[in-house]
Amino acid sequence: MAYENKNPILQARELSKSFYYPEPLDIFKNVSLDLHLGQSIAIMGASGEGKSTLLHILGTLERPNEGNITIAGQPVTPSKAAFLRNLHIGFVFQAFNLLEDYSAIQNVLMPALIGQKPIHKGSSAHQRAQELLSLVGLDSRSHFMTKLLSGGEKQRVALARALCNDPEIILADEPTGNLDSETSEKVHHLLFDLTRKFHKALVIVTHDKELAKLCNQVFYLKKGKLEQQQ
Amino acid sequence: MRFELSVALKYLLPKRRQLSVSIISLVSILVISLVVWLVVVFLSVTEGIEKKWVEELVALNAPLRMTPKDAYYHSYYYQIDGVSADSNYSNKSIGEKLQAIATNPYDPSFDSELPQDFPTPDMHQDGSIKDLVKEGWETIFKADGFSHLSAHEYEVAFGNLKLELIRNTSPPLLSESPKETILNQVSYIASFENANKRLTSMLLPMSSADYSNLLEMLGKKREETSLSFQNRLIPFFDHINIETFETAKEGSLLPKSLYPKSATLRGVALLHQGKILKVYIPESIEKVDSTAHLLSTYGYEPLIGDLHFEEGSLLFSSLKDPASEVDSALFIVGGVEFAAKFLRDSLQSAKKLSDLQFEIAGKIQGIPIQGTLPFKGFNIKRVSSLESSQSAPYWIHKHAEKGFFIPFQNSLGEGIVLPKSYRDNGAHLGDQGTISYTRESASGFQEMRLPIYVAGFYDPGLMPAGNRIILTDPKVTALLRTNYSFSDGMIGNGISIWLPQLQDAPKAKVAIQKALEKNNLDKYWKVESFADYELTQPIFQQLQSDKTLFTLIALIILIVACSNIISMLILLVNDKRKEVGILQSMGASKFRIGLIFGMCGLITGLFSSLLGTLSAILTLKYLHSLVSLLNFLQGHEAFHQAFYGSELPNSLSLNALGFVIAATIVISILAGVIPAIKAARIQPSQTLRSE
Repeated sequence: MAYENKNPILQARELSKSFYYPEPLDIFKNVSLDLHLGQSIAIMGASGEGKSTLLHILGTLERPNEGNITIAGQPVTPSKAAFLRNLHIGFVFQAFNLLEDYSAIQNVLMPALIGQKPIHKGSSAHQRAQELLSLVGLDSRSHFMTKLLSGGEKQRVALARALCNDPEIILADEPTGNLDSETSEKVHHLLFDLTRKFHKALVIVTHDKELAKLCNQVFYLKKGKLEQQQ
Repeated sequence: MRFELSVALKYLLPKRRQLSVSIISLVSILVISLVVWLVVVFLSVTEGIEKKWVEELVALNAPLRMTPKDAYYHSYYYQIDGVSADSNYSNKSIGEKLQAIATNPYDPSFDSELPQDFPTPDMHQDGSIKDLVKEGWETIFKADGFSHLSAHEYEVAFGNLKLELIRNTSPPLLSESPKETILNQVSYIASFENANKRLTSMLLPMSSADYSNLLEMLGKKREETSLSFQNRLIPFFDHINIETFETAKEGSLLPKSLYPKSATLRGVALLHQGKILKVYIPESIEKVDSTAHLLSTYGYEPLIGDLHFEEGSLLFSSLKDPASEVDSALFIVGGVEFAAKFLRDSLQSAKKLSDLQFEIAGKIQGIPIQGTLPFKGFNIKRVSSLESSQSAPYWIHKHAEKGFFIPFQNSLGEGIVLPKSYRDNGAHLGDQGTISYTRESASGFQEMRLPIYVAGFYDPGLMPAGNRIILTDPKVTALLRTNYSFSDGMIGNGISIWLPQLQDAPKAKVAIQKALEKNNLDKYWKVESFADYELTQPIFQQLQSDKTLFTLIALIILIVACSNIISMLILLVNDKRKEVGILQSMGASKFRIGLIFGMCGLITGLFSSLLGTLSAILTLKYLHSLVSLLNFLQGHEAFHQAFYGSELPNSLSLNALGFVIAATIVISILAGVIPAIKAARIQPSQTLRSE
């Protein structure tokens, strides 16, 4: 692959995750993964194989029992995790996970606010948020409270939010799982178009083979092992 | 902090779907506001009352006192006067020491030899004897940081006050000889300090009864004074202008010459064996029957009738007797007020009060009466004061340059200013008496009596033993001085020190003490601030205990009120678990998540404090209305004037405000800690997965 000679933006080495409650259970063991800018990876597998857990570990939301992760050349430590997440990672969830008491643009601007950037009207963050909402086709609804939006619109807001801080990595967990097929297709295209446009690295956890086919690489998580589909 | 603050504010806004959190939040705010309001109002009022009490407690004393220690009385410097002819073989007071020319009056060539155990003098390095009083006095003004101090000698002696009250105790309409009652009390006699700026507010104004009594006393013939009647009365009329009179309760004599010739007045004649003894003319016709009834209760035979002139004779006509000529005296009764003007010329030949002539004008039963009248059977009703430099008034007065003065050595004796309780017991300005004290002489102790008279009254406030402290001119206390070996801490001689701000007294005390130590005078002098005075110390300690106790109670109430914040925030954390997960997925650290909920506690506390403070300010502004309501609800005065003054203090106490706001903020922050920790522990992967 053309990525092999370049430094990965995210490097996971020998990741293992086990749960001990209610009874000991190894989710996966010795999983390693390199993610490069412009690369898209799909992770597939049966339910309960640990796809979402792996995605959360890659996104520093959860800690592995063993192994380590490096993001943009910096090793992830508990004290740095939130900072690296804010700066380098954007999440897109199946359930959209928008803040319901905020408008669409306030949701999009939230990562910038957390990153202590100015978000007032006219600031670069605000301009970017408006641009992103325009790209996802929601510029006319930027001041709508998100609870008033449809499922497809919510996911588009989530997509714009994931890109707000201009992170290098987009992690999507079943991004269209809660949408009808027509809307799903639109969101798929939008997700890929935007990640390509902005040259992002994309990891998608999905059951959708059609969506997986759009990625450069497809991995299967099965019986605790991550294997690439040839 | 912008992120945390904006999220915290968003969380605190009441929302319909967060009804339970909103209700608890509202209750928390109301309860904390209520407590803040209560504490600020209570502490402000108590601080105001305390300030007033403190001022009253020290009103009689300077805020600082410097008194000689035992070492001073045992020193060569003090003892040497007793054996020196130059000092008349008597020990000197502080004031006398200050004025003494020689530090060491002992003359070995003239005075007898000093005994072997006589103390040795405290010397300077250059061999000169230390002047303990003058150097101590100068040290006061060297105290660091206190350049506006003023010092005066003070002296408190004691004596037995005997006051004679000569009062007309006869029942209304009857004239009996005045009766004498005696007020007797062992009292502290304190030198009057005209540097005491609070004295103006302590002095009680003279009443018309005071002036009437003083005039009565001045009119009495006194054996001990050679002053003529005129000379005794001139200072009175130099300073007082009598504006109106009121008829005395026994009735005031109305000369027939003043009876309006063409008018008919209704009166009550007093008959004895069919002959008219007196005719009373009530001020209004409505009072005629009651006057007749009163006379009949005394066993007299009253007869109601009309008075009128007919052919130059004054006739009394009644149903019983158509017309009898009136030869007897006419008396006006019923408190009729007459405008009066003193005819000063009448004083020149006057030998008694009834020789003084006044021009009067008034109305009886609606008929005008006007003319010249002698001063008999009248009480002074209204006066105005006159400025005169010809003589000194008989009462305590303010000298334009030298401050307040108590008159001394005049025709009535030495002027004394009595505490209010004496006035409550019937004493008036001008009442005379004696102060008896003992004087050591060659033949033993001898009882001396000093003639005194009442020259004014003051309100000692809450000062313990205040009712026993009599103020006099320093010359009088010097006269009463005995030896100072009494165990009574009130009695003694020392230096009063005044400073502009009462509350600076404890600091000034330390500064003076240091200055004394620096000059090696601390073994001779003791410095006390008002909080240390023997009489006031228990009260100040009690005030301090009360304040500490209430502050503790206030703190406990605040903690209980703020504990509501914990419940509210824990509910809020549970409610916001998903949002916390979302925020963490966007890069919010655990610490910053905790900070959001900590801020929620702080904002609740701050907002409640603000609300409570505003309510407290409004309450204090309209405190009098609240007090009126309390009075109405209780059916009696809620705050007794003797303790709280005529009005409750209503200025906002910045100390109380500072304490309450600081306590609320600290407790609110502490209350936010547990929910903040709980929020920080939320695992985003779990809350996001659960969706």
